Amino acid sequence: MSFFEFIGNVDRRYIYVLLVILIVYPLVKPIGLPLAMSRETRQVFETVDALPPNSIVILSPDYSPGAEAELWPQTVAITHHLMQKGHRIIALSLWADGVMYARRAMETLGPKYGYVNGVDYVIMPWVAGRDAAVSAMGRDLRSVYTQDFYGTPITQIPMYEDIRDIRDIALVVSYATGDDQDYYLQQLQAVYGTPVTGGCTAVSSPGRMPYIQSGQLSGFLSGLRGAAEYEVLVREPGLAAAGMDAQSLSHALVIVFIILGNLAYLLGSKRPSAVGGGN
Amino acid sequence: MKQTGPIVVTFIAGAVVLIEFFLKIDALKFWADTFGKWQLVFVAFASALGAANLIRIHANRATQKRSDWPYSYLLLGALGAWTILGVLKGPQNTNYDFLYQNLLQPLSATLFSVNSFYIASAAYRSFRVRTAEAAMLLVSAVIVMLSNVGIGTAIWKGFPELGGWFMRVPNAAGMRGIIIGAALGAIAISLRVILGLERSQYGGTE
Amino acid sequence: MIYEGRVSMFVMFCILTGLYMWSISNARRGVGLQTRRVPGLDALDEALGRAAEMGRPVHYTMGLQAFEAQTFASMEILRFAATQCAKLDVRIITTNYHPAVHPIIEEVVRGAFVSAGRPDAYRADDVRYLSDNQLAYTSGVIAILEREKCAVNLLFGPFYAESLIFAEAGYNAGSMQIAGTANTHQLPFLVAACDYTLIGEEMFAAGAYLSKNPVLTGCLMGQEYGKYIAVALMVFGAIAVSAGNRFLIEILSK
Repeated sequence: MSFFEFIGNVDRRYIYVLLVILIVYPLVKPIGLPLAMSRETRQVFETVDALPPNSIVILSPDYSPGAEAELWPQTVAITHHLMQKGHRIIALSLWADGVMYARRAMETLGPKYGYVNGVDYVIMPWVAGRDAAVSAMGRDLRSVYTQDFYGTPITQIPMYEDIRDIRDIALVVSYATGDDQDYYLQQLQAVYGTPVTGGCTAVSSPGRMPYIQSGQLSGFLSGLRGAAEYEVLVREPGLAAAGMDAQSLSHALVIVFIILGNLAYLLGSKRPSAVGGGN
Repeated sequence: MKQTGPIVVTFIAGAVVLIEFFLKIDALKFWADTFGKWQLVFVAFASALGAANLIRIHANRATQKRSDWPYSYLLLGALGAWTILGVLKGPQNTNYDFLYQNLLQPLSATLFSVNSFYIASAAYRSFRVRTAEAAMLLVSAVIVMLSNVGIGTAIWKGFPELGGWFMRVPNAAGMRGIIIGAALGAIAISLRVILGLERSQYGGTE
Repeated sequence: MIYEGRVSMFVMFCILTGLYMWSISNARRGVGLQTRRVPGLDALDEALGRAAEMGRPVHYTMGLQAFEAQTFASMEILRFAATQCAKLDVRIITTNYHPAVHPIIEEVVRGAFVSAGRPDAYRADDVRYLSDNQLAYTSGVIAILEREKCAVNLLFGPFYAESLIFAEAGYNAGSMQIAGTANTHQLPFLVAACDYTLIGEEMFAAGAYLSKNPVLTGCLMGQEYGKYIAVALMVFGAIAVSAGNRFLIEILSK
């Protein structure tokens, strides 16, 4: 086997081992690579910064543990900002798994800012339906969630005295892996003009661009990088900043192997790729 | 009648919600809001239907000792235990929370993280410069990847802005086209369902 | 009468509905639409033939949603694939994520076998509801692909993070893979990992392409007219805004 044939047919397990090493190493010994600020992240920051004092904001972590690595740091970073500014938060989720993140965000960060359940934030239980639930929120917010996560009726929650309908919500912050942010854009922003911002996994961020350019989405955080940028802006370094070095090296490895594979393809014998060939 | 009933119900519900979205008619608003609330109930029942289906399938498999039948007992046991805990103690209970945080979360995150390995091997295998289009795809992918991480900024300060241009101009244009096309397709299918022209959900064809 | 801010949407909706109805009536009268070749759909026959030659099953997944537009589009493809599998005496294992869709999938597959004249070949066990948890469903599909060594892996529908896992598992099992989704965030993975991929609205066109059903073909024509309107609005809008005139933006905002 020639050198180029070897390079072009590396066993995928070698790639996996190298990937593990390059991800783990910077987590143990951080490198401190530079981080540029993106326009979309800054737009989220400015949107939250521009909210009137004591606004009511919906925080909607619509993801499952699979996307936690990217979206939980975003959730933490924006929650820090909202609490630094003293805004009131309705934490809910369109996903059954996501309610745990809504709860975790409020209960771990709330005490740091002196936030009190029922006064400064409220956690809502999961309601089935996703886009149907968002549509129902727009029609009649108080009828969708009649009690909070702990079973307290909304009539006994002080924060809810200021909430009649969706027009009392100043901003929706949605963290989504796929379509859930679209539901808020379609059912709330387009119909009632409720501003929407938030974050998404890096793989979903190309699909957000048309909504940014039309003004429907007020910025978004893109994956782990967006979370790291926001941590810098709110001065609360956390998981995202720590993970960026690992992400850098893993990206570099993938690029190196793509280049090597192409060198092997161009300079070695050009074998057609087998259909469903396995390894 | 087997198909006519559901078709009529679908038409009424769909037409009411659709027309109410545009026209200010109080009677329609009442029914549209009502249908919206009923939908939340139906979806919740669908989750229960899923559990019932799961129990039926795996109970059959376990009792008839078909392939991998011990795992069916494991599934039924886990389903039962979690349901009892959730119903009796509620999701805010610490034991329920413990199971979620220490079983479901790590399992889900582990399986999802397999993606990182798979994308590495898929990219290595598939991103070959066979055509001019493939070369353009490769170059733009590398630029966007480098713009997203610190190592790209360390190599050249211009990568973030260049990657941003790729996202804001060619990518947004392509995405916009795909979104518009998909939306038109979704409107077509939705109209077919409301008007009863789409019968596949009832097991038939038009 | 019409809600403020929704007038232009209402007008657009009426125009599109009219176009769809007119196109469907044209299609029923035989006024045909020339559809371009869609390589992924043409490859379906090749793929199913491959499964027959290898004596290995076909795996079909409809993705992770229920009763959305892509689900209906995928059902048409499933009906076609199941019919061909029945004719070729190939097993087709259909895995399902959503419980509410499961009886419909059973009916579609059984109906396909019956219409192909092979009701005896239908296996109820091969239409499997796995789980409505994304990653549990993914684990189940990986296991089926590995265990059954499926010759063909068909992925049509709304996919999320699991799409690449399906595609790589199928590749490792030696499957020929044809995918289709309108979820733009998963398209890059499917394009990279599968042999053929239907992008966006090609999924919705698939039903018309495969079945030649006049209603589906008519809707496809209607979508074409809708796209012409969208392009015209974009071109005129771009020219108008570049010339400093925002009349189109104001009209569309009403």
